[in-house]
Amino acid sequence: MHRILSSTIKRLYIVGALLSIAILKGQTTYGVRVGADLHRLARTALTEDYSGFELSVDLRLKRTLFLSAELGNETFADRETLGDYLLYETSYSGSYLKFGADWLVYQPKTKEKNLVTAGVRYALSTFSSDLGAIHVYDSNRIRQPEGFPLFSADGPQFEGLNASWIEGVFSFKTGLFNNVYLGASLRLGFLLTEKSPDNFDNLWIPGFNKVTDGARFGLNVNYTLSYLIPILKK
Amino acid sequence: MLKRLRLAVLFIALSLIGCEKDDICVDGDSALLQIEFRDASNQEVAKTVPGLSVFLNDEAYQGISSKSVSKIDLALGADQTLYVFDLFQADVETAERIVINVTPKMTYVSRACGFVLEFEQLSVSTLSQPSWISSIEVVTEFVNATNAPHIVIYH
Repeated sequence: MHRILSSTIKRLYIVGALLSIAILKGQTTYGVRVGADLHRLARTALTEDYSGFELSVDLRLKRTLFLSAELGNETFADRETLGDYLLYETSYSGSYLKFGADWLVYQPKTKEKNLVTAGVRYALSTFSSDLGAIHVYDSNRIRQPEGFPLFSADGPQFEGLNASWIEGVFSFKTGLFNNVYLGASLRLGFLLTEKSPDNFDNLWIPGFNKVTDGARFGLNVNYTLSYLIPILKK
Repeated sequence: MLKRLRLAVLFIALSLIGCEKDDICVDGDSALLQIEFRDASNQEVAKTVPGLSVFLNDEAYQGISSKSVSKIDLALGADQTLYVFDLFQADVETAERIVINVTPKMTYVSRACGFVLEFEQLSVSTLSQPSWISSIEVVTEFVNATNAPHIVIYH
């Protein structure tokens, strides 16, 4: 999967670079922007239960149109409790690829380096999940006066899970200096397909974030530091 | 500079949107094994056992001692498959010894509830000479929180 993802990214990059040379006209800097998500890096550094990164690339085709993609890998350990008591522990680990387009919503004439864009992505993730300690929910207090009865100290592991979704993206970018940009984006995903394990659900998906019971929506953010490799300026 | 500050505030706001309150479990519960006592001569009718006591390894099981009831709920454990119970009733000297065999199973319910305890392959047999019980019927081999009674004892 990693190889497929990375080769797809490479292809996208090359095709985009060729297109950009062929199509370009306008008054702005056209090029390929590559970046890394600071939010995921910060979360990796600051929290015990998460590690991950995301690389992003976009290519300006027209003044108002960008081709965009993100590639990431995330590991997240979660525990569900009720009151003070543990119900179960889970962890998720996997990679994702998102690709699509962004349209320019707003760019001040005087500050060409500030951009507001809206876009869509199609996203794919392959991952595995692992159940740790499992306590069964039990409303009567006969089995155990406090807490919940332990069923398994180390639950099953599920390989080969996957999910696909579409994502609406709203993002801001601002030029810091030279061709370095800082950006933030808010993303609302809508789950299209998923392969869940038997007798458990995908409660978290790399790139999608938390999956809520009975809803197919997921919310995730990134905060990207990127470098614009200029190809054409006009 | 103000713009960058605004961006930072936006970033923090975006990060917080993902937070939600803890859910409450309403979708399921662990199963209790329910045994119902019925009249041997009129099998549709519940019949109270006078002064029922249930013993497991010579100890009253889950406080069921000298109770006049027509059904009992046993909270079987997550890690035990074989139970040998002695069932006494006030009017009869000798106990009925019954063996209950189950396979505990965890069933996923929802994020908030996680897993609940259920039982499969329920079977019952008697070990003693018949005393006050005339027959035992397993109603369902699968035990969950909503399909009680699971065992009917006629007496």
